[in-house]
Amino acid sequence: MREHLLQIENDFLASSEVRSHMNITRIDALAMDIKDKRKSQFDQSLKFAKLVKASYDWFKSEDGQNMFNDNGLTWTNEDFYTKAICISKAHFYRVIKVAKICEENPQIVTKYKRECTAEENAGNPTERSVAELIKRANGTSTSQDDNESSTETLVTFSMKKTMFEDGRGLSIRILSDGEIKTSGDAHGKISDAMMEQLKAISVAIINSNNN
Amino acid sequence: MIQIPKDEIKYEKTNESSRAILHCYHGSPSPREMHKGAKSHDVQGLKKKDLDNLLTIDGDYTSKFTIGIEIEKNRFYRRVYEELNLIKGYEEDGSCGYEAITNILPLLPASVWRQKVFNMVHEAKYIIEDRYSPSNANCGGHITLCCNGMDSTELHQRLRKHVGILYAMFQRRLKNSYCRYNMRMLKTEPTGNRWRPARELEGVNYRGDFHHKYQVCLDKGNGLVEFRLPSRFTSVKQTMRRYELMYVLMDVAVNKPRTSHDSLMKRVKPILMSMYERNEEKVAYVMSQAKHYKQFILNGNIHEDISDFTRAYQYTISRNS
Repeated sequence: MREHLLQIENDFLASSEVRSHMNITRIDALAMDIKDKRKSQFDQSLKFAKLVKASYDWFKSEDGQNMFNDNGLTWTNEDFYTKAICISKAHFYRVIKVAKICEENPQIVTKYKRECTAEENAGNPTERSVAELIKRANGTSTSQDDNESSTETLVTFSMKKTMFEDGRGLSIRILSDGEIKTSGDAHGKISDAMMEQLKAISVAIINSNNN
Repeated sequence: MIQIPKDEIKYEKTNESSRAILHCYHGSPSPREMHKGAKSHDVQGLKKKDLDNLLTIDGDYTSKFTIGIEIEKNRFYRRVYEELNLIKGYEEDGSCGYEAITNILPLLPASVWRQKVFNMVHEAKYIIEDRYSPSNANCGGHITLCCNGMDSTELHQRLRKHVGILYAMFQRRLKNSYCRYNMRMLKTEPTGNRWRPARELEGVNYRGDFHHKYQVCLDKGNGLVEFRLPSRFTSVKQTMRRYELMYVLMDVAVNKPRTSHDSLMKRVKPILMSMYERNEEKVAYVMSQAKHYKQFILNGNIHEDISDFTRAYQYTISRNS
């Protein structure tokens, strides 16, 4: 699985000090289980996500960084998910998202499982999936209550992370109901007046297209 | 996952038998130039100021700063001599027993390339770690530095302004007659003779504190400056910390010679914290001693806190005044 690591990295990941914070053996076993269709993929994925997030939290912590530095390793996030967890960037961020849902909104997970069970009991085989869980958490699932009003994003402005001192990008979405949704600390970075201007531009674009 | 081949340097063994046997003093083979030939992947993510410490030759990267170390031991693990990427060869050593001498290594900031250097250090753990290859107080940890394009005397004098920290770390070694002369790092003249590498420079008053070889920091000529002061290498982690510290000292001496003592201490503190197992008190002590040593090196002032460690120097100059 980890063929391209330096000896220093292999030995570091294998050390008992690191294994107490990053349970690589268990992560590998769960990854195998998830691939094994006969097992309950969904539950294993949740366990996998929790373990990966715990490892990642330790990796990002002062303690973790000290241990990496003490051992002569300077790993980026990319090194973490490719070398330690052996997954792609997209997969890694999906896994972290799932772990966050489990941590912060366990009721969403419980509700989703309950609904799936109910469907199964009613004789409708359903496949529990992490992707669907994320959709539920994002409020974009198609299977959610129909009476919830649906809005669509009409215009998106995105600003590169290099534009800001904190190194975090920003996106501003203008929804069909006129609402403005932002990611990140938009108000700390962009004035309200500018936000209004963006909205005005969006409206103008929409109107010109409608005409 | 699909592995895309990366454009990176790979250190491989030479399989030269001379690198895997014991030689007499000064008899080991020439060093390999491990500081040349890095590729784009090895330096990715480095900041501009760090990239300035690299040279680009035919698309490959060469490190401007280089380092070599001597690992002196009473005996090596199982008395087995194995070729290692880190080590140029093994030699007998009069004072200690045996020594392993490294190849010419690039001296780098944190990067993929440095990780490969540390990997070489890690692979040499049976040579470096005292639990496998024991050493005693007779052994030293000589470190040789070089900056591409800079004369050794200039480098020696540039380092002089900032190496109080090394004195503070190894202050007990200032009593050792194999590494304590020219304690103020006054300018000397390289001779080109490996047995008597330095001579007194006309017009410089050493006040008797001179030896042609056993100096704290020796201007060896040919671009090379050797610190004889560091104590023996006893572990892989310690070796990596010393490497990191040397990079900071070289960077400051060569690129930012006006750096204040406090700014330098701020830069080296994380390294010291790791060296001294995050003992704030110890680190604060070493940093305060470093300031006194800096004053001593530059002005000859001896603060009472360093008086005991510089007693040999005081005795020598009192006899010659």
